[in-house]
Amino acid sequence: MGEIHKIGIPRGLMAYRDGILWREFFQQLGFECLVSPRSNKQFLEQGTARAVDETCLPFKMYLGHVMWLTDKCDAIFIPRMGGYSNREKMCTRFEALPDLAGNIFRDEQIRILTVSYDWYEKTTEEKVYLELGESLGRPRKQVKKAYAAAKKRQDTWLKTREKKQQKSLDSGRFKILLAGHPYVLHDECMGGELEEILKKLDAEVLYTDYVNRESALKKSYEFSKVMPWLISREITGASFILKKKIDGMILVSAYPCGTDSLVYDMLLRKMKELPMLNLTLDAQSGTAGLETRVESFIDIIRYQKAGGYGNQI
Amino acid sequence: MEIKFDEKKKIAFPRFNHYGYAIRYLVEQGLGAQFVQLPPPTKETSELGSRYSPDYACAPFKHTLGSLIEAVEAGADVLVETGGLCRLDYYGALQKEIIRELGYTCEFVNLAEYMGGKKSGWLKLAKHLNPKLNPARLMAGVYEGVKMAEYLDEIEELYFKNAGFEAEKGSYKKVYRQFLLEMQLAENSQEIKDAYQKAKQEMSALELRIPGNPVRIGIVGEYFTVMDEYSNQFLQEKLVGLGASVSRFMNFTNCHLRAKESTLRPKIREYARYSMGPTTTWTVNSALDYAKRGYDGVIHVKSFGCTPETDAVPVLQNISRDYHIPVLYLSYDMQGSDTGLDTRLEAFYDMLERKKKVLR
Repeated sequence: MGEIHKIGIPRGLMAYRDGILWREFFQQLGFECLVSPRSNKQFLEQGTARAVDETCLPFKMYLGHVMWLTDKCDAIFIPRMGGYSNREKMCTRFEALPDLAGNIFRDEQIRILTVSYDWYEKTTEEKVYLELGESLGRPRKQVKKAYAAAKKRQDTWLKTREKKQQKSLDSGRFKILLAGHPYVLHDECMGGELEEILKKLDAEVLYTDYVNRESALKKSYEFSKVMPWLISREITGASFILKKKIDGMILVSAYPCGTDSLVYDMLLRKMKELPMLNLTLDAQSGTAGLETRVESFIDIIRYQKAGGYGNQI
Repeated sequence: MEIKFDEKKKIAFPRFNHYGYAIRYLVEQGLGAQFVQLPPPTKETSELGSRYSPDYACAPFKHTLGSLIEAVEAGADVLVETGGLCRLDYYGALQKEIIRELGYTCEFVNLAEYMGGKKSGWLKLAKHLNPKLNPARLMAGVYEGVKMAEYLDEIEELYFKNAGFEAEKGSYKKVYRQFLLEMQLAENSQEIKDAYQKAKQEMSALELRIPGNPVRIGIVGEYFTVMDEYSNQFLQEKLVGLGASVSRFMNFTNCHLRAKESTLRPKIREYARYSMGPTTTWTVNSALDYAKRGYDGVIHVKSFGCTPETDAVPVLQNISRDYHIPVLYLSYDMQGSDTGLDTRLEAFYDMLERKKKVLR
């Protein structure tokens, strides 16, 4: 196979958190980077055509992004992320990701670039990226520097988001927390639509993944000691941190998310004091149904706050 | 009023095919506690389970929850749920909460809390379940229980391999049933061994009428649904009834005691570079194995929404294409009737038989 010059990064799944790290890392190593454009309905359609019916919505979208990249770059970066520790794993689909894409796009013969780590391997993020950089033929020193720079860039980006969220928290407006996986919340065709609807209803939108990750993780052990998933931990931890400061919470999940199906049920059982809406998104072509549900949810909270129906302003 | 005959705790575990017998042995002979042996599940079990489960939790969650609720009502003091590598790891926590909300006050032991932990933790748990625990007896009980599971697997495998061709209808089933009954009642290792030997001898003595080119079908799929007969609506039994020889690599012995995941993976390296999930390597490996050994078809079994097994499907599709082997994909949820399954299996079997005749 030829030399790699241009690396494609699909804007899907964990790219909504680590995308900045990946892009910066590769650019620092002297590669050209191409990130697929924001999600749209066409990506979803193309992805759905290639995916197994029962896979989740974000994965179908991800396939759409990969397809867009296939003929535009030399290799596509599809990491295999199992998680770094026993109680902070990822969903099993992330373990299968590179092989899954390889099997689905076997005829296209795409070249897949990957990092691989699993919770039982006892490795660190730095180690796996150093290995990746070296396997691409770059000197260790340069790789180390590139990783440090990329990590720093990601951290600043995460910090600015936290600060922004803090500002909206301090405002006296009506606040709704959107809980969910980052790739559901920030995808144009999933959480993006929801955000627009909420803004139209004059609500301040908060996100569980804009809360400081370390403190959310720590807090989540109060919720459950045995829950094995990292992202679910961040969701529950963040909602525990914010529960006193918000007016309502929407549990956003994409059909059929395996982890959410159990964790959200538990969350609904454990946080009965907060108004919550369990919303499952699927590949709908219109948003009218979504709008109706969100609107009535917001109305109920507002009526309740005003002390009953008819008392609101 | 409740009458207590002895101080032993009554322990219950969700139903899981015939492995319940091995667990019973382990609990009663090893741990020295009492085991609540549940009768075969009924429709009501599934209904109970689905009523209190989240909508799109996977089918094993619903089956096990149904079993646990039935167990409390049968008088269990301690409910035990296991952990695993997928959603299974969180079953215990949620089921405990559901059972508490239903108002049952029995004890709930979630083994996920002990998995990956220290041995002393397990011993402490065992001592808690039986304060008069004899650790040496426990070790022997565990060993013999595992041995029983191995025997169960072996006899089951033999049964499904040949039962389709028996000369006298029902003769295999008779031996198999007797064997299961003896496993249910066994109280020491000698009894286990004797029953196993007897069953094996009797089975090999039975007359077979194997046709020239029998249809052979390999079953692969998700850990619970593929093994638990009730969950997969007696899939293997149905295929045997149609006259096929049925093999299933995935069982307790092959999964936990024999080849490790890392040993199997090199065999499937054309299809997967990494481990693709908890049991995906076994699924892919055995499907590839069946294809290479000239089986006529493969059936992939999973519960609806099972993430790791859904991810095995694209690989199986590629294997099917490369080796020209038909694969039937079955996705189970809580079905009320099995007519749909019957039709699909009959069609699949007829197709395989016809394909064989045309190509021969």
